Amino acid sequence: MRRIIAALTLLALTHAPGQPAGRPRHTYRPQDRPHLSAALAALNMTTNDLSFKKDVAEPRFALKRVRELLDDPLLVPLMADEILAAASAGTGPCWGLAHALLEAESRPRAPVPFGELVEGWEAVDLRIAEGLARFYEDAERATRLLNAAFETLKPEERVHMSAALLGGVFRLEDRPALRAPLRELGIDDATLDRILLDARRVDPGPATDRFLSVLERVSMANLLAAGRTLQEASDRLAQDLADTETWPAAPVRIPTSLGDIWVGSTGSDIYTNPALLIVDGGGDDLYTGQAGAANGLRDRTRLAAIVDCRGRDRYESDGLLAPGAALFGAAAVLDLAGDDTCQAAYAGQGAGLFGIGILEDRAGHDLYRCHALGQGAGYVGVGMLRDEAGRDTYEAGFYAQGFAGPRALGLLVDRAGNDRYAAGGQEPDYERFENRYVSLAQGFAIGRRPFAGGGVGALVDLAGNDSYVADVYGQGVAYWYAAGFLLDCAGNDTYQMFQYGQGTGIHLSAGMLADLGGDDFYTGHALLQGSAHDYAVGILFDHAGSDTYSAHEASQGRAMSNGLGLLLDSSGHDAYLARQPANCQGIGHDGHYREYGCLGLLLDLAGPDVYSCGARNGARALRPDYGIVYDVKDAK
Amino acid sequence: MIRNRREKRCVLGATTMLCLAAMLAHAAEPAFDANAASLDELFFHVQRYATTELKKECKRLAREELLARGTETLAYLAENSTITNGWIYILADQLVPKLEAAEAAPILLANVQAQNDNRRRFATFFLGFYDVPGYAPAILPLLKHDKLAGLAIRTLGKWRVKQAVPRILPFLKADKERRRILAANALGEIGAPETVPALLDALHDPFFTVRRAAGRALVRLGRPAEKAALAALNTDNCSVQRELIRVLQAMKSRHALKPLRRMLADQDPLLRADAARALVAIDADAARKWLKQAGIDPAPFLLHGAAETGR
Repeated sequence: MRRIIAALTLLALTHAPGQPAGRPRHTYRPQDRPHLSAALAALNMTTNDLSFKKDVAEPRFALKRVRELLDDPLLVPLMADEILAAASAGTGPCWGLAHALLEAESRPRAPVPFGELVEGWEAVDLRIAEGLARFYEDAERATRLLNAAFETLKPEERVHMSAALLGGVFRLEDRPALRAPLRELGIDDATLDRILLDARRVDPGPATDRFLSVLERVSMANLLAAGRTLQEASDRLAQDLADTETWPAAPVRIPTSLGDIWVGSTGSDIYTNPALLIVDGGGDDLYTGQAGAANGLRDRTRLAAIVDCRGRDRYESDGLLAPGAALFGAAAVLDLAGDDTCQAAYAGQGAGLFGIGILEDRAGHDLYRCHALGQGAGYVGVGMLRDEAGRDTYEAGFYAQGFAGPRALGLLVDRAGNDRYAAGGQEPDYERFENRYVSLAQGFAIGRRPFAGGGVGALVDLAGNDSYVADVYGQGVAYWYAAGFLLDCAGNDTYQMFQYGQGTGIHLSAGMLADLGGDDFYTGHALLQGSAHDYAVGILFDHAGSDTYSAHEASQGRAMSNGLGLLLDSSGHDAYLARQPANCQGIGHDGHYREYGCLGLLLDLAGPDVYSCGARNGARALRPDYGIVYDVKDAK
Repeated sequence: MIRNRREKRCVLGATTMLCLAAMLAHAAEPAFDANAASLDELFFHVQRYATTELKKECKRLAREELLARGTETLAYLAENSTITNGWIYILADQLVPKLEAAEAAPILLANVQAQNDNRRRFATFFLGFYDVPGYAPAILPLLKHDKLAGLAIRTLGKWRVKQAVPRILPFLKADKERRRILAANALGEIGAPETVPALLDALHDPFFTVRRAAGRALVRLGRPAEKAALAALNTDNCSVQRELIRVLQAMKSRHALKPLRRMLADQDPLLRADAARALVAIDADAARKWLKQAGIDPAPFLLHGAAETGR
């Protein structure tokens, strides 16, 4: 039944009104399914056995859809299909996806219009003014929806949540200099002291309970509706002003009760102040300071939008929130053309933190750089970065590039071009691999162990020969009642990282990497390439090309501690290289003192292949406790 | 000794503040005096995420000191297992193997009788690491406790408490998959031949986790289970038949060679493959000949056999 519901959701997403009814792409292709059944049959198992117990904890809350992935792992590729369908179809269907995944209540509260008159439109051309008026009406609606989203949260609770999140992620405890930017956001010292004290308690229960009780009160339906309203308003404004030539000679400011509206020139303008909307006709502009960032802790900065029509623009910020970031608010940045540079000292570029943050770039070769919480990062809300064209470079420290925390969807979608994604190099992986860095990115989601589940993080790249580099945790991985996806549709790609990723689930979670085309290279150290550890599910599907998989240990259809690991490669001449062959390639683990084993599956469905473990082409090589290398000599 | 949760929080809070003040005042100093530190103080340092060299050094010293304090630390961890901090179990996991049963088990037993379920859970789990079956009367009643029954099954199994068998046996049909697994494991460890029919029945379970746990238990039971497995091999249920082949293979049952050889001619290729694999595992040299006679290439099974024995 759950699979039927998932399939119907997928159908709805792929046939959304206004979208071409394309044939849905399946990450788990119908023709591959008999082979999985055959591989399981060789182990005297059926697909029902994949549902062995993995959901063994009792978090205070976890997304139902994520929880189902542990019970029925074959829903993981269906969720991947759902994400892929929405990401391919445009920003609009992504709202439906967010709605479905985040269990938003069925209907947002109907907003009541302000009916308030705002003056000052006469300062700009009438055609622009008409567009602005329509935008403003939508902004009023979005404001009402935001009010409804957070109406049960007291102001001091919002401040505390912001301090706990940002102070924790950017490690206020070790970096006192962080106080200044936190104060600028509107967080007082007393709150900062309190969260530092909370962080030092050996019993995190009471503070976490307080945090979660606030987090649960956010009305997701209203929040999503607010974000959608702002994003669609920005999009409509861009269409309204597409062929406008009558831009002012210098930026014009229009004050409104929701914040300033700036109408820029076709020259190189500089914007530094918070604004409800900045619409710019052209030129190489600089957006810095608080421009383009929404901060709900301050009055009149809860909504922020930028529509930039042309030029090689720079979006830069030294503050905690860079353009495209929202904290208890909604932000939408829409850049229509030009090779742009986005640099954030902290969060930005599609970061929804108790909010909705969207950055959409329609053309050009772009560079994105941020420290953390950016490039499609959500934490209670939605963070989305969408790049439609060009050879782009994405660089981030951690918690980025399709990252989701609790009650969140983080989505990075790149439609075209040979792109480069890098995550790491900022925060050492303390206490584990001190010479490595955490990435926690490129389709990564995480909950608050053991208290609450996480969300869904996805990086979707639809075309091009791409390079993905991460260190610890990345490339379709999740941790604690969360789901992470890296979905690459075409091109000869390179995936490189150290540990925990490339389709891996860690601690009661599900991670998946699906590559649908090209000759690919997958490289790393351990727990990679369709692996799982601790009641988790990890899946890697590669559907075309001659691929090379290399790892040191515990990888390539490898499961440990009651997990399910699955690597399925459906074509090409592939090489499966492992430094520890007895510890890789379709291999389980006896559970040790975990009471029961786990299941590792490596399926190669075509072509002459090479295996370090000694499996031969055409093999049905059963591997210990419990696993199999299942190879098909010829697809025909 | 901290008496209740509220008091404990106060103590922990005060300790935390003192530690913080001390660290801020002496930030340049490499470490604190672990020998003089309270258990609360030591636990604070050991559970803290070591993001600086100072924290790392404090953590190392605190861990060493906590392990050195032995039973005092165990009692502290048991008492504080009421809080949600993973380091309680991590430390206990490191400490328990270092402590003798005579000194540690009484501390844990006292916690089995505590009011708080988390303390009882902690104590029941770690008691399973000691061979103290004399404590069974304290654990047996927990089999009726929904949240603690699983741990009780596990610990009673490790202690091989025969009187627990009739009370564990019904768990083989429990709704919860993990309970069925734990029951199978425990019955295997206890080694009561009268459980063989129930364990054979568990080979029908819808999840491999239970089927294989039951299979392992049968292997541990030895000869009585071997006889029953051979008798059951004639079943029409192919899935159960294949589970039985795995059991007989793991037992290295020479009595199974004859029926397994017959299966090399079975029409079901999966059954043939399982039989071939089992024959190779039981008697590789003879199997090579039998497989060739049956027109089966023995090479893949020989390779697999090597992998399997590499456990």
